[in-house]
Amino acid sequence: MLNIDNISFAYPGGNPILKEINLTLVKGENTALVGPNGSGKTTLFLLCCGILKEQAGKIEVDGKFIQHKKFNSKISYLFQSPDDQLFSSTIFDDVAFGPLNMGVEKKDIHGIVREALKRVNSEKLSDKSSFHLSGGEKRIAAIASLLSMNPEVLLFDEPTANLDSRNKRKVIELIQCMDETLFISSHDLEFLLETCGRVIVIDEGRIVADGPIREIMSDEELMKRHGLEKPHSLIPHQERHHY
Amino acid sequence: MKKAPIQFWDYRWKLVSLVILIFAIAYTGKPAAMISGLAFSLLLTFFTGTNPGEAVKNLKTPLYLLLFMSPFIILTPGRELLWQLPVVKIYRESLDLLFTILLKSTSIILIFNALLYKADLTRLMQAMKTVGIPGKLISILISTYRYIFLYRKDLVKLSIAAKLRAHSKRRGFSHLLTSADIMLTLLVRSYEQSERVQAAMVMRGYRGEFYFAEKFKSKFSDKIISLVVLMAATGIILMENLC
Repeated sequence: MLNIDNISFAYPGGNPILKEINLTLVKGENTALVGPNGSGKTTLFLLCCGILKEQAGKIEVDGKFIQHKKFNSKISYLFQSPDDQLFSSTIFDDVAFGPLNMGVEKKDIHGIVREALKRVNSEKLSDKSSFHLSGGEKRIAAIASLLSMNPEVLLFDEPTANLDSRNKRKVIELIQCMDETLFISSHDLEFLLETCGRVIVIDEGRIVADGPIREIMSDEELMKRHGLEKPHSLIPHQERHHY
Repeated sequence: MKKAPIQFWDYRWKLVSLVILIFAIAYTGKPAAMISGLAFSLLLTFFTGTNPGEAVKNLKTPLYLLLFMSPFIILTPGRELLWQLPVVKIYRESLDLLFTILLKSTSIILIFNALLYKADLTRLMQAMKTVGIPGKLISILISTYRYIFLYRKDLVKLSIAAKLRAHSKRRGFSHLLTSADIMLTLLVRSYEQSERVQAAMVMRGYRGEFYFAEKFKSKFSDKIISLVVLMAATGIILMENLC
């Protein structure tokens, strides 16, 4: 589905941030991307959707090469901050923005927006302004604004950042119901354990581990070596917490 | 919440007729025409259900500015001397100028208030597009409206962070330097955010033009209200030329 072939990248005047990255995402599979701060996770996502221009290598989505700053309806990116994504006066307008740009007929727009908001269980947000939404609602609305374009691959950058437990649960339940191919970057390892079957560990611009999430995250030595911690839920309890 | 009568007026008709009225008032120079302009703006505020409190609030800043400028305006030299004090001379032309600016600016602000009162900004932009205003300008207006609030929020946060570290206790040059740093940080942040917003828009198929989901449907009453406004504009111009 998403094929990254030998990608390297450095910001102007900086050290290489990604070095010869190779990976393939399987259709319908949820893959986690973890690594310490500055390891190149966001840069990899920005390259995957064409916001940054690759300096070496190629990225393909469903057999079509990603071109710099060219819209590709098969892939979408959820920014870390929903304020970067929502700019219209109502959530309806924001969710309708993508389909309208794609040339969807006006008579079909209401149905598409309703469907996207229904998928995220937030039809009531339609007429609200993003100024009046909570952080969790904004995040959900931002996801709906991507779903309305019906992409095949979704890149989620820190989807649970700044969310409370209730909103985090909503995002988890939403992801568990999605059948798109998801590539999720997060520092919240428990969240990733609940939503992804595979994990890619990236450190200093290179992929250092790739495989089943429980297997890799259980490897305490590997996790420590790359600035990560084994998730608490994978540590066997020595004694009972409650009596 | 109950809608004000102005919210039922078709955005295209409202935009065109109120802009013509603004131009008609801007064209006036004779007291009778200017007073008629102000009287009609007040009637418009009253009959369209525009909140008078909000109108007064919106008038405050421009009137303060005018108050600040008034000593300079009053001291503008003219031909017909009214009063002569030991140092200053006051001419009829300078008082006329102050009176003209006060009347015309108050009328125009009241009309703008009626135009924007509880308006759905997306619909207003759509109306602007329909009447032929360039797409790029509309894009700038939509983005400015959305992000000006975010930057204001950012500025408040930065100012609080500075105050919490005793910024207000510093005086003189160092105080100014910190304020300049805050503005610079805001500028850099806003630049970075604008890049992210643009990327988010391109990712959803934006190509420099906004498309709108809704269609306008004008009623007979919209045309009647617009006709009344246009008649008032014509009356003001006639009064200017004939009185």
